Amino acid sequence: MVADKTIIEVDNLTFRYDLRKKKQILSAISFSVKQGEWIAVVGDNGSGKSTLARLLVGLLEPENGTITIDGIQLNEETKWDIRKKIGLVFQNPENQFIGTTVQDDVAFGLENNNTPYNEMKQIVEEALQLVEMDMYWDQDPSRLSGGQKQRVAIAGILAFKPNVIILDEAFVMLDPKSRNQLLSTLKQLREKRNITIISVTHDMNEAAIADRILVMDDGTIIQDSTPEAVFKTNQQLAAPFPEQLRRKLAESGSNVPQTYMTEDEMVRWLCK
Amino acid sequence: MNKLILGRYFPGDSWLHKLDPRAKLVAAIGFIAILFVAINWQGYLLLILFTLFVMRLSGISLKMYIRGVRPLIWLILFTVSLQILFTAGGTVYVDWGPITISQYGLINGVFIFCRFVMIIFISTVVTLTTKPIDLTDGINALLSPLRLFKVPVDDISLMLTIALRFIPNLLDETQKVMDAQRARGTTFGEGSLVEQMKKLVPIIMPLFVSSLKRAEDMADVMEVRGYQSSKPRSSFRKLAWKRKDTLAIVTMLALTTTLVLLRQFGTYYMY
Repeated sequence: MVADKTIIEVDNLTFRYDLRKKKQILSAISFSVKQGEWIAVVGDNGSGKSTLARLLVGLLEPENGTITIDGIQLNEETKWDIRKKIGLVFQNPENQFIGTTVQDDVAFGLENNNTPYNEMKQIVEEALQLVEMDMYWDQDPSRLSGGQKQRVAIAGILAFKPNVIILDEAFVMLDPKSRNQLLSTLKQLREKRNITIISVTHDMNEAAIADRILVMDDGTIIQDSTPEAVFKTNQQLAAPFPEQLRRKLAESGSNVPQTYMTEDEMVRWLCK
Repeated sequence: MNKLILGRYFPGDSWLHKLDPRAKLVAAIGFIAILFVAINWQGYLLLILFTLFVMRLSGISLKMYIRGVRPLIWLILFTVSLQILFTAGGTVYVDWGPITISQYGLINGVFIFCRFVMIIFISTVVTLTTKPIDLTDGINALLSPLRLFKVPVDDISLMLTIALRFIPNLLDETQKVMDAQRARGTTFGEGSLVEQMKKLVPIIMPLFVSSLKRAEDMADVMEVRGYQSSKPRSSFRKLAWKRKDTLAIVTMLALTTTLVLLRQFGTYYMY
C-alpha cells in the first residue's frame, strides 16, 4: 500500500478521567498515521486503548496535547466536521444499530447532516454494496447476525466517505466466521477506497495483519513498529498463531527460520 | 410476547395496509370524534356497518379484534351499567328507590356499549394494519404544526422510533434475566400476589441497569454519527400521499355529513 500523506497526527496527548486524581489514563502520547495504513492498537485492559479511540473522534476532551486529522485540529468547534472524516465502530453490534431497518440505520448519519433525500438514497445503496449488505437493505436488526450488524455500522460510516475507520474491539462479540468476513470486507475497503484503519484489539491474529502495531501499556505507547518487530521482541504479548507455531517448532529442534513469519510465509515454508 | 399493543402489527397486503399512516390516523381520530355525533339508531347502525366494513377490508379475522376488546370488557360493562341504572326517562321498568331501569337508560347503555366497542375496533384496525415505524412517521407528520410553538417534534419522534426499535431487545433481555433467575431457583407464577410482585424486583433491576448502559452506548453512537438535536435533519423515510388516501379522507367526510343529516332527520329518543 502506497502510504502517502499523514492523516492523523497525535502530539503529546494526555488524558485523565478524573482531574482530581493523579493517575493519567494516557500520558503524553505521540504518533502519526499515514493515509491507507492499517494500524492495530494492542495492550492489556486499562492500558488506555479505548480511551485513545474515543479521544480521536472527540467523544472525550484531552487534558493536554493535540489531535490533528486531515490537517484540521480537533476541538469543540471542529469535532462535527472531523466526524465526517473519521468513524468509530463500537464493540456491541446491538447498541449501535439505531435505525429500524438496515437502510434506515445507514441513513441515520446522513439525516443528521441534512442530506437531501435523493442523494441519501444513492449513498445508502453504494455504502451497502461496499460492505456486501445490499441484499439485506430492508431487514430489521433482529434478523441479522452480529457480524452483519457490524458491517451495517461500517456502511453507516462509509456513507460519509471517511478517511479513517476506527474499530474499538468491534470483533469481540462476533463468531469466528463473521469475524473473518468482516476482516475481508475491511481489507477490500482499504484497497478500493484507500481507507485508513485503526483497530483496537486483543486478538493478536487480527493485529498481525496490520501494517503497524502500537503496543500500549499503562497509558503510554511502549512499542510502535511492524508486527514482525513487535512479536520478535515483545515476549509479553501472546503471539499470533503462525509465530506460536514457529516457536514451538524451534523448541522441538526443527530447522525453522529464526525470524517472524506471516501466515503466508509459514504456509509456504511448511509446504516446502 | 406479541400481546404488546405496539408490536401488534399484522403483516398483510390489504387496501388498508397500503394506506398512508397520516390518512389512517386522521380518519381514525375523525371516526372517534363523529361517534359522538350519532344520537339515534339510524346513526349508530350506519357507524356499525362502516366499522364492520373497515374491519372486513383489513383482511384480519374477527378473533384478533375481539381479543382487543377483552382486556377492557369490565370497564365497558361498568360504564354501561352506570348508564342503565342512573339514566331516567321514558318508561320505567324497575324502580328501586334511587336506582331505576328506564327505557332511556337501556337505550343509552346500548349506545355507550356500541361506542366503546367501535372505538376499540377502529383503533385496533389502525394498529394492526400499520407498522409501528410508519405510525411514528404519521404521528410526526401530524404533530409537525406544533413546531411553530417550539415543541421538539423531531426529538419526540426520534425517541419514539428508538423506543420501538429496542422493544424486541428488551423482551429478549427480560427472557434472559428470567431464565437466569430460574436457574437460581426462582419459580415465577406461583405464590400470592405480593410474593409474585417481589419476584419481579430481581428482574426489573438488571433490566434497568442494562437499559442505562445501552442508553449510554447509544448516546455515544449517535454523537459520533453526527446527531445534534438543535440542527435540522432530513428524513430518509418518505411518506407518499396517494389517491387512495384522499379517497379515505373523502369517505370520512361523507360519513360525517350523512351522520349530521341523520341527526337532523332521524328518530329521536331523548334530549
